[in-house]
Amino acid sequence: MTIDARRLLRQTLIVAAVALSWFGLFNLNAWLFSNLEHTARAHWIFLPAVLRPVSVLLFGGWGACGLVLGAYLTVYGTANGSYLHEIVLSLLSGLLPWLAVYLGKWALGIPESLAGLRAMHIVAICALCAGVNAIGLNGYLLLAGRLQNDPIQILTIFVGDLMGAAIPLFIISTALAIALRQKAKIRATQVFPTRSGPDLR
Amino acid sequence: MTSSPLHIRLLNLLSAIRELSPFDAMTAEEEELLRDLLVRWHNARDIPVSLIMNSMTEVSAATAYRRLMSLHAKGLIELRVDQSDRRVKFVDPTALALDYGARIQTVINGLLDESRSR
Repeated sequence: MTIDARRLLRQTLIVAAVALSWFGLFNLNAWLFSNLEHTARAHWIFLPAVLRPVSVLLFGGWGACGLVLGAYLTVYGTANGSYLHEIVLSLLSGLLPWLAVYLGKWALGIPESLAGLRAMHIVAICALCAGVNAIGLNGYLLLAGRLQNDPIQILTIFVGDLMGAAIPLFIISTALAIALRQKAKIRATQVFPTRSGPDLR
Repeated sequence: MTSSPLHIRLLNLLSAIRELSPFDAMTAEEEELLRDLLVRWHNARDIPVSLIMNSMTEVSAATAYRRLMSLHAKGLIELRVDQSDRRVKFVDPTALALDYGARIQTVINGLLDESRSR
């Protein structure tokens, strides 16, 4: 297999993985938080939002492509036959976070390798993604005449995206903390079976 | 579209996500302080709080004290009052801090074994 073919396969896998993750989280969100739906396009908790900063930070433009595809899978057939509307909504779902993440990385001085990325940077980028998405999506709906005079939807999308990112990130971070602590304890027990530990003093 | 290796980005991202947890152990600064304490505990038994705070010249006394208290709150150090002068407090390691030291030792031993086997 040539290098270009491998690269293409890898990029295809990235796009497919992000899109399927979006699809899965979207359906999980609908199952868990169906009663927190403000409108069809706005939820007070929107779990797939976590994929926006994470996939763009990790995979760059290919992550954004995955978001577009994932959004299309979930938007398809929900716009009363307006395919253009569905496509624009899907494109916005990838373009807006891509813009927000690159703006955030530029403003916070985060390199492409993400070296020096801190927890507060992630919080800032998630907030930026939520803000850009809330304004961008509602701006488009307003221009398209589909906002239905509902300004609270801007707040709903912002809060929903923020909560949707915060909940999975909190779960992942706690799982990492617990797992690493357990691993450290197991290693220490292996090195010092009596649990008395070394006399470091 | 991106040129840095994916695993480097993933590790940096996971490291930042790990910091989000209130149950996680340490920030980078606290980790540095704990390492410094481990070295000091190896050389001497009684490490006064004032000595640690004075040695952290790059930050204010308030920041230095906050970092020490943070390690204390996370169960990594204990404070022991000097029996002869109750104004003096010593910093002692907890079992968790000793585990941390052991973890470093394990990693170093692993690296040494790896280099010997080559």
